[in-house]
Amino acid sequence: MRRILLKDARIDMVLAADVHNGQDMLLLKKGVALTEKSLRMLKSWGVEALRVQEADGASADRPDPGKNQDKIEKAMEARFGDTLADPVMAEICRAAAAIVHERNHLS
Amino acid sequence: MPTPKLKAIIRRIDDLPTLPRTVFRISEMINNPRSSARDLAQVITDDQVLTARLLRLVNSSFYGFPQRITTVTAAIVLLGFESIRNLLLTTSVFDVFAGRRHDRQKARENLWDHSLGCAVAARVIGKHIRHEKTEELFVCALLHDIGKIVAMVYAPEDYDRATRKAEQENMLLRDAEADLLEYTHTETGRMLAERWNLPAMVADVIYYHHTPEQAGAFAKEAAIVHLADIFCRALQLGSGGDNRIPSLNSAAWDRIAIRKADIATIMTEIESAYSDISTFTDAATAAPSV
Ligand SMILES: [Fe+2]
Ligand SMILES: [Fe+2]
Repeated sequence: MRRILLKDARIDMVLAADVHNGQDMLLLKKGVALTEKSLRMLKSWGVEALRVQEADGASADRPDPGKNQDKIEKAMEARFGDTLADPVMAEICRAAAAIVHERNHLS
Repeated sequence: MPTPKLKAIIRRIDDLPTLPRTVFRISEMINNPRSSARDLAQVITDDQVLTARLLRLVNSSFYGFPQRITTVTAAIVLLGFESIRNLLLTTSVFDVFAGRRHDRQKARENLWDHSLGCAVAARVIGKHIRHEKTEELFVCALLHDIGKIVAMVYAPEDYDRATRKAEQENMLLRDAEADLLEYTHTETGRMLAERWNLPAMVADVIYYHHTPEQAGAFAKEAAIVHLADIFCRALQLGSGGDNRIPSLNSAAWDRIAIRKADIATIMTEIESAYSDISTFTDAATAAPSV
């Protein structure tokens, strides 16, 4: 088990302890894997730190952010397909990739 | 004209929970600068379900107020007009999405997130261009894909076939519906809106959200929801049953008249408004009874 700051939390990390808000309301139970939605929820509750289970490879859960951004952009472009010929759609695609990247990293 | 299949679906539509008239009255009220907290309290107390839900929420740990709140007026004073409206509106529509049976939970959840994302996006776009009916835009967008719920409940085989085709061939669900079925979710959605006596603006925006230029008097509102749908798909807020991003209708884009340079700002605003409201509705719909 290790204690991490919320800003370092990533999707698929598994909670090693329950997470409560300031009023002691249970937000997430021990044992669940973090999702995009739950990270967003924790952030909006002002949770600052949590305990997660140790991953197998210590560095495996910290992918190179630049590489990750690349992956998000590729996936985004695939979903936009040939609509990207429209410059407005290309701009929407670019903006969305940046926002989704930011969301996943809560930076 | 409705096909026999569509008519058969419509005949059974009464089984769906209805959207309280209150919901639309509340959004109209927000747009009227002369309406007061007391007017809003009146509308809410007329509706027992909404009253109970509101009091349950304000007394839940989500707000953590130390003393018990027992009147609707007190709740409005504490939470404010805007949050009350958002709460009642979204939780009422949520009931329709949640359904009584617990099948297709994941698909319903995804569609709910998609609808909420689209509603938030439509409101942000509306504010940006100073549209005077941003709350109605929110409702129209929240309901734009309601026809998919109708199909999930009354024609689940159709819905499964259409979503499977959309996935396999990486196409829009609407195109898959058009290929395979005698109806699309825009038609079932409009019929439901008419059945619920929702205003013409809501029914038309539902019907034309994929073909906004045909929406006549509501072409601008349909265009906004069309763009909102694209924004929330791009941001991956939920899923409408397919994975494709629809192409942008260029006449709709010109009609809305936002600058390309403002897209990133608008989308960032949508992202943050969505995370606020989704936490709020999660708490509202999951609030434990007191
Ligand atoms: Fe649609
Ligand atoms: Fe949609």
